[in-house]
Amino acid sequence: MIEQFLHVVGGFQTIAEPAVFGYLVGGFLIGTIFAAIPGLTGTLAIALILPLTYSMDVTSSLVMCAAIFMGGQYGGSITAITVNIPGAPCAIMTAYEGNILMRRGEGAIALRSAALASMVGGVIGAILLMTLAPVIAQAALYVQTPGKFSLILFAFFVIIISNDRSISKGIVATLVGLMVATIGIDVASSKVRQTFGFPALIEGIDLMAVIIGAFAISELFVQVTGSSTEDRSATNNLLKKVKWSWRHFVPRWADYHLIGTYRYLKFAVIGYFVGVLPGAGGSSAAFVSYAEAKRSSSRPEEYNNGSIEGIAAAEAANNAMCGGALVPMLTFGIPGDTTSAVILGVLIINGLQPGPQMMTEQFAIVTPMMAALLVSALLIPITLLFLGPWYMRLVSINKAVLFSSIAVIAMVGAYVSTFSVFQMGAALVVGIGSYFMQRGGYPMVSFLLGFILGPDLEVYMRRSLDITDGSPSIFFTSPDSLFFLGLIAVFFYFMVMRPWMSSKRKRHRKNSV
Amino acid sequence: MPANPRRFRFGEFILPLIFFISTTIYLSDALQNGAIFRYGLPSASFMPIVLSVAMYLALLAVLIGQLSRRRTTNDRLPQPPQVSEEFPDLDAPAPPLGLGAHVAMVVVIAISFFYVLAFRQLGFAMSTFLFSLGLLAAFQFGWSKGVLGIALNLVVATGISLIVYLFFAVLFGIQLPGIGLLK
Repeated sequence: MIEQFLHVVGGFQTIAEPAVFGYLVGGFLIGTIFAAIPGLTGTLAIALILPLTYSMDVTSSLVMCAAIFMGGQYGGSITAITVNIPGAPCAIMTAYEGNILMRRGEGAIALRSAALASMVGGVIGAILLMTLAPVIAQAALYVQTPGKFSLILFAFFVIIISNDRSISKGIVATLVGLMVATIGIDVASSKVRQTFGFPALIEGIDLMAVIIGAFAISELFVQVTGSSTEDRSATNNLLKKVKWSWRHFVPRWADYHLIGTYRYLKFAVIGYFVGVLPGAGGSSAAFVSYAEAKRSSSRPEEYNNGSIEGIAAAEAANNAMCGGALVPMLTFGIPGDTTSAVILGVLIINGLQPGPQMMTEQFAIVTPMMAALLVSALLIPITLLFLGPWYMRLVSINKAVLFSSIAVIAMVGAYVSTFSVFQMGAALVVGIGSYFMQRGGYPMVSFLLGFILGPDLEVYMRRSLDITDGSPSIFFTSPDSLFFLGLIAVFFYFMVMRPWMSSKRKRHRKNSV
Repeated sequence: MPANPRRFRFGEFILPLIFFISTTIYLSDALQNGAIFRYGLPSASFMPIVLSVAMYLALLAVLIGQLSRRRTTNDRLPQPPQVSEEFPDLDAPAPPLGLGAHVAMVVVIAISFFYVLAFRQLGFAMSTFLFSLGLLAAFQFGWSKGVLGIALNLVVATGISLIVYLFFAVLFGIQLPGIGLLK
């Protein structure tokens, strides 16, 4: 325990180095700016810097990713409050309450409160990550090969059922990811398979090409097929009316006192634990926390009418989620949301295998990332103070120039990762496919998880079957495997069967009336 | 009778059809990899075959879901538009694309493939400049400004190429294909 504490202290010492701190600040600003611009996200920012991680050391890469993650969760609130355009989906609740305050002439207090809540939530999430992740990693060491197989199945299951729109589409997206992962060399026997007669496919589809295609190139198609000229002129007109200086963004004790320590803590803990669940993400964290805040509020009449508490609940939770989402990723190698899935890619690309082994034997490698998460949360109100008036101009950046630049960076990035034009083409094909899948309502996080975890799923399954000479009974007799299969059954009952039965009962009651 | 049946959307039936065809090609390749079990243990073709079967079942579930939703929507009487007091739904199904959007999409796909093919042949500078120019045209950048717009396009495309070059080659020391790498 003391050793782990010293590693955490070492993490803070590492980020205090000027070069690493530079990456932290740079990453934080990139994340904030990307999230503030509608259409761009923190995930996209990490996907774009992914090729550069080859030329950086692992620590700097992870520190930068953590800072982008934190900045990306916060940045969405800026345009959400000022122009009612949530830069990121997790800022929807903030837009809902914050823009009402903005129109009432209280925009500065909304922005200050969002920044303060994001900071508090981010700090609490990072502290919980530092304290709980090593404990969970110790427990994870007891998970054997059949248990690891069932754990990945559990992660797939949770991600699929968390797709509100359609469970079957979630399954299809996961299967597409798994199928793409099988292209190339068989992980267990080193036999070439699924190349369809194309020798170029022997090398398989690179993780970098998949991430860049799924998150950067697909966004280009989203933007080029959408029209937002009218919206932008209206936004620009709105922005011209706003005249703020840095004084408006100075944090005030009254802002903090309005919510209180207990409620901040509550919102952050909710966000953190929602983040731990695979597939939940910042939007779910913000929504669950907002709903709880509204239910237990002493001022419920303020909700839907510009509630500071509502903004605080959503922002504290979505920033605390950052710490939570990294727990399953670091301890089991299973990402909690899309951004942590891309960070998982950074770890894999740099030759690290996230899991209990890494957390116990290479804990020092990830502690700077944890420290970066905390420090970047502290940067939120500071940067708002200096850059607040400028943040709002981001929404008026020319779309053509912005997305053309991003497309070029993405395509060149896909090339530089392997110096292969084939992978560049693969990124493009994945981008086109991802665009159509997104339009059809197929969740990309399921696709990415299928692609990343597919090889592990197959290896653990085949190794387990090797032990019992091909008998699948091992999955039902091994206690750790049984535990995760039991969890699947519990989640299936509470998240699929019960809602289905209650909706059926409601329909029946309606029909009988 | 349904008052105004919805148009078929891409994601509803065409995408599952594409998945179905792709899965069939994938399965046929998997079947050529030899026996599914070897010495009683799963072989390299086991996982692809299992995934293909699961995909067929999932696609069937998707189709059933789409058909039942379609029937529900068509049976519903047309409702007057309401002023929504609910949260904006960013996950709502995407609206159908217009002709202009389709054309822009095809143009971007075409120029992106051209970029991939030309990247080594023309070198980074020329291919990136042309790619940027093509993308700006797809976004109709500066189209309303006449000759000035053309000049603006050329300047911005040069600027993008230069910034990306500085970013990758100068800042991070990554070697990019030079001009004249004709094979």
